[in-house]
Amino acid sequence: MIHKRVCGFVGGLTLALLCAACGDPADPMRPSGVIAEVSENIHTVVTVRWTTAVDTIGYVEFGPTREMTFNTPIETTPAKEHAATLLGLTADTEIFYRVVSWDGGAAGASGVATIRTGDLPVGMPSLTRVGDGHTGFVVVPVLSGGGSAAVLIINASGEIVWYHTDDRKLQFYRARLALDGKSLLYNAANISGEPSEASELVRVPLDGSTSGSSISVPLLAHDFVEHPDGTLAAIAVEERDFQGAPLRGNKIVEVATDGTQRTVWSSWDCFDPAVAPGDDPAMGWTFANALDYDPVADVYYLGMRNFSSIARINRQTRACEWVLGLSAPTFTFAPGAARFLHQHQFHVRGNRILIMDNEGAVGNESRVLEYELDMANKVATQVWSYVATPSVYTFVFGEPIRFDDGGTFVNWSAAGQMDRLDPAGNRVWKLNTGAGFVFGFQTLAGSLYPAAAPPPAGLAVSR
Amino acid sequence: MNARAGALAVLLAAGLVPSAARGAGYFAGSRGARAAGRGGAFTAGADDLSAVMFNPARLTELGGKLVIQAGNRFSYNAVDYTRDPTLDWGRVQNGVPPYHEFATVHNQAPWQLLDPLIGAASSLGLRDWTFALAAYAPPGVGREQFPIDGGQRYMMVSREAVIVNYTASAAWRYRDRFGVGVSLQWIHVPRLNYSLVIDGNTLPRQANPVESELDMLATVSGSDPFTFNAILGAWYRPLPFLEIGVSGQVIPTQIQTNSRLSVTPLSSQIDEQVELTRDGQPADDVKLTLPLPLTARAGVRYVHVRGGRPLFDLELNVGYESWSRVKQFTVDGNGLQANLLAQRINVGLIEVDKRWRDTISVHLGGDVIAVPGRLTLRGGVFYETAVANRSHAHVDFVSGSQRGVAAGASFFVRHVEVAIAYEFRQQPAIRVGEGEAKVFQEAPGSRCQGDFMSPDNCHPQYLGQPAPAVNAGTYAAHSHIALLDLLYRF
Repeated sequence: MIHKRVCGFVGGLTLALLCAACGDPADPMRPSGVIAEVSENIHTVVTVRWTTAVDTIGYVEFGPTREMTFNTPIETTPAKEHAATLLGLTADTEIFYRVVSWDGGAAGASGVATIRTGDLPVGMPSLTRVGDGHTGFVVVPVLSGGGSAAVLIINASGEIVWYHTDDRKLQFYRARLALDGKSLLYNAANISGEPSEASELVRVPLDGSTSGSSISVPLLAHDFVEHPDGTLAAIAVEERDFQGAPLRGNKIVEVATDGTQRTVWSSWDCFDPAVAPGDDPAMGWTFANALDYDPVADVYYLGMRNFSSIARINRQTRACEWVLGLSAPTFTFAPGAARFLHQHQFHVRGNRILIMDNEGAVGNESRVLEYELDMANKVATQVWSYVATPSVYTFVFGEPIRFDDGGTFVNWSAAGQMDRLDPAGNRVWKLNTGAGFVFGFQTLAGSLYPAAAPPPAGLAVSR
Repeated sequence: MNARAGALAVLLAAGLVPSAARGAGYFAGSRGARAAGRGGAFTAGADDLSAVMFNPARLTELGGKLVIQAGNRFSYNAVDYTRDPTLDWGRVQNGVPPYHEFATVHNQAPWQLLDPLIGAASSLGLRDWTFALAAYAPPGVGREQFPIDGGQRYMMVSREAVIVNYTASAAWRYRDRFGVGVSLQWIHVPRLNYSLVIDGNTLPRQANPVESELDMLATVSGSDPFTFNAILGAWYRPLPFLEIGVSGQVIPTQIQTNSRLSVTPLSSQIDEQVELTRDGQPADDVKLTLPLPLTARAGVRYVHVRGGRPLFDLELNVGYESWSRVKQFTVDGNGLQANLLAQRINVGLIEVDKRWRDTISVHLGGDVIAVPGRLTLRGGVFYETAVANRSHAHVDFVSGSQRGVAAGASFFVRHVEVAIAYEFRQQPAIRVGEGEAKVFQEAPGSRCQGDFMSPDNCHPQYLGQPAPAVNAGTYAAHSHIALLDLLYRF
């Protein structure tokens, strides 16, 4: 009995000494087992995994310096096993990173570690940037004369931070960050010559974990959009008989999140080829080449090259609410307003519209025109224009974007140039590809991560 | 084993018991160079003016018809705190709360150079009586100052406490067998200032654990002219070489200051002053209440005598202090309202949650007569249990357990004794995780009230608590204390 008591005392004392040696018990919310891996498919993407002893949410701070000025979104679902993808990294760069976690009452962090990203694959375009007046990322396909194509994400420094190629014998014209926050969408199609029956809308995970998935949408054209609910809408070619011969118009095809496809609009809904025949029958009738969607008004804006017109289309009624341009217009141009010709992308902001006028200027020069639209009297008044210095010509694509601060982004696609203008119209940033590469339509992103949802309130512990 | 050896063995064994000690609460250390040099083991053997505090009954053992003592305590009090990193839910960027790390802060006013004791004791011609008058500052860290933008600022920015105890004591003994005594104390607090940063935000679902645009420095400054207390003591000498002493502070009382409150916005963006009013009229008076503990000390002392002369003594003390009386520091605004930017914040009754607990201390020390009539050396060790639970650790008073070692000496020249002592006191580092921390940011305008679970008024990450916890982190403190006393025995 005495022996047992002595052993108990000694054991307790030993345990107490051991505990004292260990210091405070480990913080259960503190990340452990932190590992980082460079993606095999995308060498500028790193996946960080970690575990916590209790359910936590967390994120990763990272960056090319110890300040680690970037971070992944905070997780929304508490868990013990975690992963986060580091995006926006440049190739062959040492990256500092640290995991941060929160268990609802306390924060923890791992130590700072480093990992080096890999090299870019052969065949990526060289990029040259001048100026610091742009921020964020440009998501854009690049096409090359040799037919190869890639989708790139380029940072404001003009560096490639994400890339994707595939072996489809198709070209990519538009790329967007998907609203799921995890993937990138692009169209794989052919607009040079015969449209492709094998065209697809492709979704690629940003973390490079797989080669992605695709949805077959035959005869895709230049452009597509994603609705807030995840529905995809794309321009496709539609042929109908007209006066005993096939006539190549266009349609807007929607692909619901369950994969169901339906045509929500056709050229024949608004236009009569007998009245508006278009100006380049060799390329088809309407030759729609640019698509935007306004979810508030539930309308599409569709640009048609051969009409040199842009139409606002009611998604519910299929009616064209107005048409601005040379064919079938409902707007007239105010005296002195320049006309646009064979335009590509545009940007509608309230009662103003910016248009990439590919061929309306004299000579081999493209320009951006901005009109103010008098909706009551249906008069378009030109209020601004921009020509690059030196001037550039893009016979295809091209896209202007107007920012809230009055600045403008212009993608002179075929010229391999992008400009960022300040509100006064001065160029403050310029990006050029190396020879032989062409930009497709771009989307701009302030961040490669989705707008964050608030963390779950249920994480808070009751005290 | 004879009785003498047995008593010594019991004392030594008792000293090895892994007993706890006490947290010091408002106070820390010993008063008087002779007591401090023994590590505070002075309840049974007190024989100088510090007996008015340790055990007034021992005043009969001072060894003179008139004893005058004056001294001072010099100290360097380091307090270090590193707040645990946290997520700044008040400054979420793109949905992500930044991970915020805090720099270590230090007490910027560590030196305490004036900490006096003065007193006189006399038998007044009575054979078995001794009377004493003394004034002293109770031992402790009188002042702390931290950066206004430091990680501790939601707990405290500064405090300053000037406390003087005026004591009148009387002691009586029955031959050499036992004695009793009492000290009546007038506790005078001429200055008691305390400041901290509060979050003046009044918006619902707001939490600013790191920084707020409406951070304000709230300062309470006041005094308490009179608080009464008393210490009772007794000693007993069952054997010529063994003494037992007990004492206690027995009146439940509290310091209540008449204070003024000022609230100053810290943001340079706010030009407006905070107006304090009551019933629509300018007012700033508040009352700050700090409960005082009851205390009890017991000591047993062995005196080794050879040839009729004491060679050394060894004393073991155990102390108990009822700091659990300190549930909170209370600032009673009595209807005071703070007005700023068209917002009205009810100051009302602010209770700074402390939830202290009773403490136990163990002190072991003794004297060695190195050169009879010329030099005495002394030393001691002590340990005190934590006054606060880890969850309520704080920078305002040392709240963790403390341990220390002391040494001292007395030099005798005729009737004069010069006593010096050095004491090292340390709170081993303690860490409080944010998940267990329970000192919450003061946000008097917060709409999160009641059970703090309202999703409409409370920040979703802090449901169930009034505001973010602000006392998570690592605490460490230590003091170097030197004492010098002069005693004159007529």
